[in-house]
Amino acid sequence: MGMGRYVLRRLVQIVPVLFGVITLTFVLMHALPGDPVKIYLGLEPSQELADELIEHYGFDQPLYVQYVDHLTRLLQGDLGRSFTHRQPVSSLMLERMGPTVTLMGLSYLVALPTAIALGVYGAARHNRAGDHASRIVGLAGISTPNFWLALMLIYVVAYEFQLLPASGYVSPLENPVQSAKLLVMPVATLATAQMALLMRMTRSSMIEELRADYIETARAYGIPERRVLYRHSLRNALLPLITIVGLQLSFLLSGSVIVEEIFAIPGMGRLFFDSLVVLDYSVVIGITLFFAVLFLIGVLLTDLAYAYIDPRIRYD
Amino acid sequence: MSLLAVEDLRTYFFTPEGIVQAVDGIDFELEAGESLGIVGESGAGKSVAVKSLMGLIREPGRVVDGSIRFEGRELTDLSEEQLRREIRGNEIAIVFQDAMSALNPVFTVGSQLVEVIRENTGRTETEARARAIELLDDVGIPDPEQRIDEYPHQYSGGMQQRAMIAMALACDPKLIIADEPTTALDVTIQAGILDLFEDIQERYDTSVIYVTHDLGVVREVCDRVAVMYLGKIVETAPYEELYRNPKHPYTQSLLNSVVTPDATLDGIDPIEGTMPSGVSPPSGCRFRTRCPVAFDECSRLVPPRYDDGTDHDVACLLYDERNPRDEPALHERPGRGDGSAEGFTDD
Amino acid sequence: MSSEQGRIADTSFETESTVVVTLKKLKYSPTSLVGLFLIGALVVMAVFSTIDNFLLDRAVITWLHADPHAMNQPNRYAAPSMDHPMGTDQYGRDILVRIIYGSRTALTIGIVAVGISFVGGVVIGGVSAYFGGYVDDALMRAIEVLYAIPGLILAMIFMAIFGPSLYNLFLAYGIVGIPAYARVMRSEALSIRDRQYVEAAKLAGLPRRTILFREIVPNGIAPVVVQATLSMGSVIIGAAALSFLGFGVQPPTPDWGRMLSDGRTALLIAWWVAFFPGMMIFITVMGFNMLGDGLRDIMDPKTTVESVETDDIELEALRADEPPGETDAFDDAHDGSPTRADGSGAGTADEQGGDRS
Repeated sequence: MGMGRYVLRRLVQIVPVLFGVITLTFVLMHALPGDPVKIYLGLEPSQELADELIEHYGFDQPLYVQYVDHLTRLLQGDLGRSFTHRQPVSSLMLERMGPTVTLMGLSYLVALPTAIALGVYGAARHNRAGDHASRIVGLAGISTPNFWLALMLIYVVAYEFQLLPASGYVSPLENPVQSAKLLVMPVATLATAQMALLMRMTRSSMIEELRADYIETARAYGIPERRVLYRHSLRNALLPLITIVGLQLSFLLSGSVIVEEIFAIPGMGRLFFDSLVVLDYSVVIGITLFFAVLFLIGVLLTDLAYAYIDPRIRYD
Repeated sequence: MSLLAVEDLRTYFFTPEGIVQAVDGIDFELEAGESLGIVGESGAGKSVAVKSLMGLIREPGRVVDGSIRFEGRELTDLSEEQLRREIRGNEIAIVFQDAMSALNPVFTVGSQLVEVIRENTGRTETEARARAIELLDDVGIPDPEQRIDEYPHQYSGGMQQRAMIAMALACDPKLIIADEPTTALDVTIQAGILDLFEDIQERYDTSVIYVTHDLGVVREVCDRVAVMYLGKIVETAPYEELYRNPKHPYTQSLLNSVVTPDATLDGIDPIEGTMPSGVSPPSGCRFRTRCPVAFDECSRLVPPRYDDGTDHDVACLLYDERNPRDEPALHERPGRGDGSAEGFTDD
Repeated sequence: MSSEQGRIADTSFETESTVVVTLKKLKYSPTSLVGLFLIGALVVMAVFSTIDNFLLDRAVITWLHADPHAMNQPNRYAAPSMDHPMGTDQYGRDILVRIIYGSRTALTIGIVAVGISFVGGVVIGGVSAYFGGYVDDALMRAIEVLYAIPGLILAMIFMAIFGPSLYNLFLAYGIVGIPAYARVMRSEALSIRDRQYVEAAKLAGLPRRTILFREIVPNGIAPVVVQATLSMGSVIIGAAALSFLGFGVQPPTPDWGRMLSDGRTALLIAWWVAFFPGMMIFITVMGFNMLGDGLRDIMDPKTTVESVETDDIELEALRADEPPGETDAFDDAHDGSPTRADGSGAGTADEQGGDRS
């Protein structure tokens, strides 16, 4: 079916977009106010250090030379060095990737099944009390600011009732129990809006599917209602959902900045925030690029999943 | 005892705009092995009527009154679960108009057939699959062993409808309902599907109800015809009798509006106006607003069915013995001989 | 097809404007009415605080309750009471009046940022679809670049570079939002581009710009409007998030996000400082989402009732749970050229239904 070629073509299509992202971040970061040397070395840097820095980053070169250098280095897989952390951006990002990936993975793991179950429930009870309730809850979910939710969770759960530790991070591999305790609130924060959105999508998509002719066929041939709901409708209803799942990556990456900042989780979102505050631009560019790549690959994967579930999609 | 006896069936839809009397008191009978055509314009309630038989009417619609006796069993007394287990698929099967959308696009034709067979007959996966291939072969699908694993969109329109028919046959139903089975198809393919219906009716010994607005279909395959207008059956007769001697003014205009090869254009006399809404149907006879020969009583009296002892019933006050008027002034129809009927002009 | 045209003929010459028709349909949707009410309350608060702040120098609010800028150190972190229904913050300022004043910031950010996204998206999407070819490719790649970077990340970089101020906040979220609008507009415009009234306008020799902005854009704008209502909420949350992280509105301008951020430091001793501003953000965003939800239902041709003839009782009955009304009123009843009678009303439905093939 030419699936390999399809994937290849899609990957090639990502290249110009990435190029655009690199250029955009480069332009933005070099529009930065202030002298980067002074920002990083203090107001009166030793001449020796400053020279080293200028030499290393090529600050004395014209902007287009810096841009070409930047591109060349990126092509070689070199994301540059962090001023503040005194180490290569790539190794820094690698260190911080674990918590972010854990957080986002868990968020999907919680949000997706719950959202589908609730969405199907709402659709099956279309326009009855249960449906109206789920609709309101869904709207409330997408309307809740996650930073507020996080603070309120900390206040109520960690402070008032002292059920869970307020913040911090431990790798699940090191201490699973403590790690789980620490992850409950961040994951809940991240997953709430995500779940609400997915639930709304599932519901409306299911309602549409339940009106389809082939659903009437299934009912007319004595297929039990449960199977009509979960086998015949859901599979079709999932199609638009898959696209949303991919696009939500962007939303979750944004959310990770806030959640990691509030719950003191040493992930990439927090690294981004800290680096942006001190204008450690190679880190900012590196993480932005990484997020963009992650997002684009996520969208590609969901498109492939879509084609897998819907036999009518051809790779061309 | 007839296979199916419907009495005073009423199916209403309770919408915000009001109650739509989609089917409002219809009666008909069907003998085993017989084929009945239900004809009428779209919106006449034909589809609702046949779906009511299988309990397929969904919110906000409901069968509010009437009796449906199938082999002596009262279907309106059965629970949803009983209908599902005992009637749908295995006793009464339905073929929908648009096979393309009636088949689930994300499953192969085979898996849909197998599911229906297993659900209704309790065969194993392998047995069901063998049966499915047999059925596809029966309905004239070439290479059934290969094509069984294809998806509906890989089938042509005619083949999709054949696959639907295979599904209908899957559990040897006693009655097949064909709801506009050829409307969505090309004219060239229609004939093949109709032939197939005739063929399977004989081989599988089933009764068939055709719902259609196409008198050509009726002529091809039906023993008897019931004409529906706005939720009511206005006339029932064997096809030949109806065609030679239409009694109800609506039937007459239906036949008049059929374009025949030998009819000249000025001979065409389509029905005037559009059908009124089912929310507030006209009082008395529902056809009176478009009837060329309506008189005063038509707005006051609901015409009962007049049975002249033959197999030809009509619900029109013109045929009341107390009616002081003469036999209805039939309008002259152009001589048509045995012209083939193709369809209504409103199509 | 003939019934389609009949329907259009029925609706396209309606005397009532589409806006009125749409608003009338809103009454069938209790959620959107509640949403409208919440937004109305917010607008009243915002208008009041604008007038009070700039013309009356906070006189009315001070007379009514308290001065939002007045510090009162001995009274810092006072719990909610009769005097201060929502308590006071770290400078002893009354939170209730600051919340009322904050409505102005929230609403302005929402409206201006969405306005920028809207205009930018409509122009880019319209131009892209109408000209096609290289123009389309280039613009769409640019849109994809913006889309590939998570919104908050892009907005944060933008604010870090251009400095945290209200105006930069408008711009940041205005730009971040453009891709979504551009995509919606583009797909609408693509479906309209080949309709007969556009063809007619071309044949009549109208300039391209006129065709684009007088024929195509007005006819495809409805879904973009829905998008605007629905994204108003996320823009308000996003802007508050920026302020919360310290990249947004700077003191002393009362801003909900900023207030929440202040509340964070004192969370354990004074929960109310963070609670009430967040609650206000929630209520506001909920209002916009409820309205947008209702609007989308009303304008989506798939969820509205067909203009009722006796055609297809089953279909009509199945759809009867939706608010009734003429389906295509919004799509096709814009005052356009009289040649439009042939325009197919099913454009959006086709687009949505056909996207799988």
